[in-house]
Amino acid sequence: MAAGTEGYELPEELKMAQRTVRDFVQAEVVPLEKTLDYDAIALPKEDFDRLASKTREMGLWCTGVPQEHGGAGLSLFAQAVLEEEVVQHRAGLYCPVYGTMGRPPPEIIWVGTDYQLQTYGLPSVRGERRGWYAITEPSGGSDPARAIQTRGVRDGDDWVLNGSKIFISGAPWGDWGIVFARTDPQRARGLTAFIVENRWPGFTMNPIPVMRAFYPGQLFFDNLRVPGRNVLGEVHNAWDLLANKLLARARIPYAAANLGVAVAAHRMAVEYSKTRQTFGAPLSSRQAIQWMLVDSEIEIRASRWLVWQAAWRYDAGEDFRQEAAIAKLYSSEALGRVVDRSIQIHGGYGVSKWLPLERWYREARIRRIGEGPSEVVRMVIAREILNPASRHD
Amino acid sequence: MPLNIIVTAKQVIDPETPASALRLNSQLKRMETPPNIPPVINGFDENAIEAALRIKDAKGAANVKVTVISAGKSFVLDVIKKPLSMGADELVLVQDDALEGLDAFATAQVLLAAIKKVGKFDLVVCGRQASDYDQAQVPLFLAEGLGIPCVTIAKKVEVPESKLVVERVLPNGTEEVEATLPALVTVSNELGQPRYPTLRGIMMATRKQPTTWKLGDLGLSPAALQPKVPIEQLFVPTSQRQCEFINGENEEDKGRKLALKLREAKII
Repeated sequence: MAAGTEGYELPEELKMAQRTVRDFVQAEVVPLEKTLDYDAIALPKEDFDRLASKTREMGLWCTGVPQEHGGAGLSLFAQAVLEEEVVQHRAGLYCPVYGTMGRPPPEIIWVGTDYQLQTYGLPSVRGERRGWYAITEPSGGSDPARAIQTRGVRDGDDWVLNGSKIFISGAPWGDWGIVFARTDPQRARGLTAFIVENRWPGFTMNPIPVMRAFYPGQLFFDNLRVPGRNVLGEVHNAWDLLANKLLARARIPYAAANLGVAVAAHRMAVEYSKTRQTFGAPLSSRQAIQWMLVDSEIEIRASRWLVWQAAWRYDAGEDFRQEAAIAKLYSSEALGRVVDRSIQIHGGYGVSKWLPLERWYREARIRRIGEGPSEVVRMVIAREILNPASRHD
Repeated sequence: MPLNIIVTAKQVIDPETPASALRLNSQLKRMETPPNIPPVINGFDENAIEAALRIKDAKGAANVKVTVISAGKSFVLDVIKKPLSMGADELVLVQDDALEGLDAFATAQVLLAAIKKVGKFDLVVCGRQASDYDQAQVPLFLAEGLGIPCVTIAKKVEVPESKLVVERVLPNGTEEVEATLPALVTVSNELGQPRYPTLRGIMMATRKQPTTWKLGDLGLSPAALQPKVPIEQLFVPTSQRQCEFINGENEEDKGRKLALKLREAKII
């Protein structure tokens, strides 16, 4: 019997769903962007409501949220395939379809109590609330076991938080979030996850201007009192939530978004190179341009397989952390190169704000820092290569 | 008895395909499908599917059955199944190597035979024309072949009781006409945007298998499909541009000379 495999292409339903999402983004979102500010991060309310009612009807609302909580309950693999399409517009990298497919709460809320689900998780799925999570502190973000200095101290039934968080995405537009704080100073991993609300006394937030319009926030907790019922998961034992259920998993859709924008930038480069004439011949006839296109094509295909492999392992319940790290690292670096090449091929138009490339170029730069800088991710991957027997986490 | 609606749908080259990716084969006198750009269902045919589904919505799902028929040499299954994911009940594919490069009359003969084989129908809904050759002839041949009334270029299609009521698009407005059933109607984009497939519809569509017929199953032979209107030549017309500046003493003089030039060129 010849060794074979069950199949080497996407299942029919996923191809159909992928095409549906592509049609939606290209027909509904891309034309709308022509009427928006170049760096817009939100739609006018009537446009948001119109598109959101379509995605709800289509069953594309909060695709990753379990069905019992009001989402579509898609596998992470299916989400990754769709994410590649969802981000293919100007604001797509950080504001995919401007939230018109729902803004799901941080995944780990679903380990919460019924109260937490009813108060925070489900209203966020319905679009009534918006959640964020906060790990990074001024002392660092890549080594939370050491860097987290925000302290949580028990006071009767409540907890009192003091400290600060920095570069927290989504916090400026959210109204609740999950804060990781040190509650057991004796242990490096003695962390607890707290659900806090932006409006509570002792919580302040300052925006941080950065190179993308979807700016993050700096948070300050000054004797922030958190009721005991807002502890998410186990006291002192939030490490698994943080490292595995949140961070490692998040790298997969993050990588899929990198892939999608790279695809869009590359497609523009291919098309432009075939129509732009220089010295009597199209750019695409020049070897210098062809090699750029070849490199982008290969990097995109490699990114796709890495993303799909990581997502597949996650869905299969296998250890996916190494694969997720590799997919995140490779896709974020490939994205930067692909957008850079596309800009080079477009010449002056590439750096103009007539095309989305200028925005993608700025935002792509952040992808090598967000969700784990390349160097830290490389360190994680190296540890696994050099010492695979002892799973680190 | 449910109302039986048959919709015809054609798989075509994606009209959004960048011009630089299109290949015209002059020798075989046909357009080549770009390898990396999947085909789509003709846009007006999606309007036709939408029109049928709106009737289904209005009358209740149990009271209307929508069958989609498509004929061609080969199909991309996850493309041609789109009507099922939008809500159509059945898909019939007439798939045969002989079904390539047919003219409108021959295409109509194939669809006619397929409609007759499907059997009972009350309404046939077609797109007003296909985005590949834009001839808008197949629906007319079909109506003639079926011996039923034909109403073209609809922006609204309704079936109250047992008659067809259509709002037609005219150059200067619209008109409303009625026809007895069975009838054929062609639908235009003025009907409005076709619905998107839903995830649930997609899952149901993947569980349904299309009924597939060969030419022989319809009692037709390739010899019967010889084109009545053969393509003599297929080519991209070359266009030449010449730029001429009109000189004159003043604006009025330039305008006058420009008007004369345009009249000489028979443009005005």
